[in-house]
Amino acid sequence: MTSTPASASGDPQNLLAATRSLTRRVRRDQRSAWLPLLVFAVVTFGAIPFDRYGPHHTHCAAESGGREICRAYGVLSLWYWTVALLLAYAVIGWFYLRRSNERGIGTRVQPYLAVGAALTVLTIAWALWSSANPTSLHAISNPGSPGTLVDRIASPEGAIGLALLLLAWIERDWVLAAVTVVYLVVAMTVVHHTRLAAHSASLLTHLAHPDIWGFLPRLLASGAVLLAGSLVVALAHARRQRPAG
Amino acid sequence: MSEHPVNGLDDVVHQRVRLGILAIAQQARRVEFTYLRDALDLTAGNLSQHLTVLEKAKLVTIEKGYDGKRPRTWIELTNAGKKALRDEVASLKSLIHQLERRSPRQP
Repeated sequence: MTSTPASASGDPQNLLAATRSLTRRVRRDQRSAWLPLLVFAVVTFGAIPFDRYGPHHTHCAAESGGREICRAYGVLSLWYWTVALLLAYAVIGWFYLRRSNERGIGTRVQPYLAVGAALTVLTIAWALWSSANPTSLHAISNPGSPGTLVDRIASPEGAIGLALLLLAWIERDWVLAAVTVVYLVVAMTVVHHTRLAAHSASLLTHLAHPDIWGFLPRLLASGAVLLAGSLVVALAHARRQRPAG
Repeated sequence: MSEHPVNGLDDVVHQRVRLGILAIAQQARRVEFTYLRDALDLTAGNLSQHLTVLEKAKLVTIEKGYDGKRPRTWIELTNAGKKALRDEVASLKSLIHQLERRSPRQP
């Protein structure tokens, strides 16, 4: 048995419009992306002392042409990023759960947390593999090869950015999406510039006379974009929450 | 001959408030009673009646508990509820499409 579409409960167009309006309201009430951005800004700035004072391991191997390829990574920095990013996702999950209980509305943030944690593990695995196999990395990282793109993305900044894109889609938050794209462009550009030096065979010379603050522009630029993004997203959410009129 | 979209409408779901409950629960994974009451602008008694209808049809589950000393009632969509909502929205869209195709011919 079915009712007529033009019943007292409304015509089909009004019903669909009301349903979409409710869905938009729920999405608006669920949005809390300013917090992940803020947490990752803190994590990024927190990496500075680990990069500056932590020990660095260098793996070198000879190419078939006889040239020696070296790759260095900060041991303490690597562990810092692993622990800090996983802790960050735990904090974000706890925050969303608490907010969900307060507001009486659940969220669908679990896929974001799962993908974020998985990308963190993959990034660390890539860092360890590429450090242990500098010649393989050099072979696949020729300009224009897919390996170059993988090497750019497989950084903590890349992992954070890709997971944030997923969160932007889950929350249908175009402000967050725009902030994330800006973050990825800035982070990938600066990260790539920094990492090219690490691919160079003259790295050992650099290590003999290391630029001890060479990592700083990368972390400052990434952290600043995240911090500014957190502010922009929070303001955009507050503006949407304010009742019209 | 294809079935008319009106036949796809379900009496339980094809109602403004109940469709609203399902839409919110679908988007939120789970939703608290007071959020639904405020979002749909209903009295507690009215909302309870609609929830009872949906629960009897096995479209939602209702879980009562406490957050400290504060009583909380959480509503969650079942798989049947998700399907019912999907079917209803598809039927409504189909109906609108048919109505829009016919309307230019009518004076």
